[in-house]
Amino acid sequence: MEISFAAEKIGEIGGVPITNSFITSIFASLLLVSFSFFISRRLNMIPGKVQNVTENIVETLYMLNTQIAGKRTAFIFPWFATFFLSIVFANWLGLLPGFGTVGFFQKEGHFVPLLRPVNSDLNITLSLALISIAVTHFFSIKVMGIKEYLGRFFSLNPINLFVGILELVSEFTKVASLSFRLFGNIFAGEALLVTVSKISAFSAFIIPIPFMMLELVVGLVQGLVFAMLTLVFMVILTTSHKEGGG
Amino acid sequence: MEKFSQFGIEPVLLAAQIINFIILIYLLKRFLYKPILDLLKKREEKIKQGLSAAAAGEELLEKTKEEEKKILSIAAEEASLLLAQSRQRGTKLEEEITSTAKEKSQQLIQEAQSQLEEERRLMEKALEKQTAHAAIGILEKLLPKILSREDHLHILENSEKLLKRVLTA
Repeated sequence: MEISFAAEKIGEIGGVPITNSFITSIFASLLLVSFSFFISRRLNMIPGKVQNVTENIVETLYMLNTQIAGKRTAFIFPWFATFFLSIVFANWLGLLPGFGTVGFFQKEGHFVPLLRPVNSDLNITLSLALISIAVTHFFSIKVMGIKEYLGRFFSLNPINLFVGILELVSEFTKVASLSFRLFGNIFAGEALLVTVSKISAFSAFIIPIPFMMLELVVGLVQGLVFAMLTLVFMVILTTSHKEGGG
Repeated sequence: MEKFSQFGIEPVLLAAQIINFIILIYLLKRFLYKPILDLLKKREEKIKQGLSAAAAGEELLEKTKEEEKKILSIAAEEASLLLAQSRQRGTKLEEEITSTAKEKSQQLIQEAQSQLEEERRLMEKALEKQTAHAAIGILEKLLPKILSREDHLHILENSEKLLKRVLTA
């Protein structure tokens, strides 16, 4: 079985190519939204087990967000929490049986899985990184004003101008680092699991288990890294030089 | 660009994924974060209210206990005062009754003594009378034999006068 970098195209709707990772992404989003809807309808002052766990997750994320973002928590939190939850959920969903194994063979004999782990597609990780950086800059303009925002990158002082240009370049590298880190880790994990399963007929049953445990941790850590970096970028870019003491 | 195509980068898919994520954020914010954070805030307020109510209750309990102690000490003081007063009254009443009884008994004794004295006096008088009569009787029988008729009459008259005088005295 060959693992391609690009997500396999399953079909096309109105000129939009539908890939297996895109289907998984929509499926993961639907599951998350359905769960949220289910929880919101059954919220009780005395929580049950499911509500308790959900409350704990949301509260922990909120406290973490508050500790780092302070007064900016209100507008940063939904982005931070959604990046974390959607990435971790999608990563763990990709470890379920059927992902990468259930599919069909194309005419050339190439196997196309119907479901592919969401973040093993650069389209998705890149779109997440683009959203993260775009929203960060939007908040920066909203909080500091356009003048101070531009002043961060452009200045009449040659040294500040040089630093500003470096910062501008770093904004592009942020996109690359965020997207490729997530994609690389999840794709590598998927490739590792497929390779381990293919060593022999018996190795498909027991040997992947420790690697799957490892992937559980990787999925969590990658979600946390992406969300934390977004949070930190947002806090840095919404803090003026005066406020930051710089 | 060739490298990018190797990764399957599709601008349309990127845009679709961005829209998908923005919708996801909106829905999670509406159905997950907001309701749960509101609930947590409400619960925190309730806990705060409960704690302050418990503290107020405890304070009230302390006050009530102090008041109870005060009331009990006042009641104990009043009770001991009442007890002392009633003891005092009892003693006084006892003394009064005893003195009245003594007075009455003395009065009764005095009355009995005077009555006894009166009876004794009457008896003495009666005895004197009887003795006088007996003496006269004896004299009447004996004197005729000893004295003359005139002496006899003279003595009788004198005796009678004497006797009358004695009896009237």
